[in-house]
Amino acid sequence: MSGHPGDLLSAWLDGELVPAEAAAVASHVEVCAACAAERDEVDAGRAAVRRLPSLEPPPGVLWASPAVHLGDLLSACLDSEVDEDLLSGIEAHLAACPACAAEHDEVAWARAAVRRLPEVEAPAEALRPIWVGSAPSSRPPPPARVRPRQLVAAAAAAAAAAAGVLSLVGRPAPADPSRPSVASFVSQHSTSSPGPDAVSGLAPAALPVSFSR
Amino acid sequence: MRALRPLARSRLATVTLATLMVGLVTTPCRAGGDAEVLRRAQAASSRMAFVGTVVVRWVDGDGRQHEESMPVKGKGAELELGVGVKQPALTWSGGVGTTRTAPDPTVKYQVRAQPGPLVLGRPTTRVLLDLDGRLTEEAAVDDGSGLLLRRQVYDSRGDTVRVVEFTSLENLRPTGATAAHPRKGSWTVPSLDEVPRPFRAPDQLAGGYARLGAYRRGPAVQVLYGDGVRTLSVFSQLGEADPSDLPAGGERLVLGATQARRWTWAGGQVVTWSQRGTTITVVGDGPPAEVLAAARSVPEPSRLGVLARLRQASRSIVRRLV
Repeated sequence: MSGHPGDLLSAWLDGELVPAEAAAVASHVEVCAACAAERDEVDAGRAAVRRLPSLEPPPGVLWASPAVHLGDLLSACLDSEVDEDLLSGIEAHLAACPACAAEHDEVAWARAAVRRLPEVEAPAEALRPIWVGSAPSSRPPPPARVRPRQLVAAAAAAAAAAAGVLSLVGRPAPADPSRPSVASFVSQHSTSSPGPDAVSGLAPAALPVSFSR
Repeated sequence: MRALRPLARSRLATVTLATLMVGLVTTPCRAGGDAEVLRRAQAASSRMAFVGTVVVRWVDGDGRQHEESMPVKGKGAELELGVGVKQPALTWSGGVGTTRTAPDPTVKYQVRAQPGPLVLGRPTTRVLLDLDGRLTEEAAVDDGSGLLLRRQVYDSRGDTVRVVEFTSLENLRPTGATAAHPRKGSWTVPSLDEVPRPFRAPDQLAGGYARLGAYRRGPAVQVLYGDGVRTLSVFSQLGEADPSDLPAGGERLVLGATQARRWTWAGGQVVTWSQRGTTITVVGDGPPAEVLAAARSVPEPSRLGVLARLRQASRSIVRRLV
């Protein structure tokens, strides 16, 4: 056994462990000077990161990177909420990034679909109990006049939410990168082996892991 | 058979001479008797105190031979390996604990015990493991202490892929400890009763590997398998691996419908591949073909449920933004 919580220490500090795991890590840290020191270091690092000023990348630097995607900026762009400089950067990125271009088309399609929804008149009776319930002692106010625009906005919001969920769930989730720590796995496998004997089974694990073929 | 360079003539001559002197007569096989030597060796190192040196010799995927020597200190249930080699010493105190018992080695292997050669001047029993009629592994077990002094693994062509052996051994004495118990406050790897979806962990993998336990390893889940002699771990984690995050080198190969990468390390083989939004890494100490066959038998992860996909999509969006 490697003897220390490793990655779980950070997960513990982030409050991401289930209670049993958290308790196990906490009790270990109490008696293990090395892990206590590591906890202090991680804590200090987190505090230092919090103190960093927020930095904006220079305009134009990131647009060409395939690792950068537009996310909410697409929607802001379609709503004409971005300034000229930003818009030119977005257009440059869309020209170079098929994923964002496809997402841009999807969002544009969803907006158009919402705009095509028919206007619906809400029945006045449906809203009366709300008024009655909120002011039982007073005289009920006259039936609320619901503006069609409000209803359209509500329907549009619901449709947009549904479209958003469907677009996320209905297709394969985008590949969420994973970083398999192959060297750690080798070490964890070696030290968890129950046999056939501790010495010859474990000895290779004490050697530097070299990944030639 | 392609012999390992360090194992060459002088040692081979010594072994042969010692073998001839002792007499290579197979011990009559009692019921379970031959495998009993192996079982005794499995526990002996955790009951003995000793100081020694162990050498590991292995052949990588390109056929290159490697050799590393390291000091080993045993004190009952605790072992310290590798002080002075190129990475920090490894301290071991008993493994993760398994929820199921390993299969009897005789289910998979034909186990034969013979009087063995003298190793470091100590009489040994030579245990030969045959698989499908071919020698796949052999071990020399100290008659006095039960300690396994030498272990040699062969591939399916009969070539040696790894040798681990003591080259010095001093102060060998029993400590009275019968099993490895974690010290108070020592870290215990969280054990899992159920493997969370979408990962799957069948009771058996190809090659007679039976499931022994499952553990949480940070973002990954480890499922440990054993065949009574060798072990193999399947590590699964969400997300597809970016090839640039994998170790350099390795061999590209096709595993079912997916591309995989395979590396050789001093203790065996590593195979990793991505499938259905997850990454699976198999680490095993068996010969290359055996580890690969077991990797091929790892079932595809389940399809992610709606909520899991939503979660993964949300994570992906957050990653794009930050």
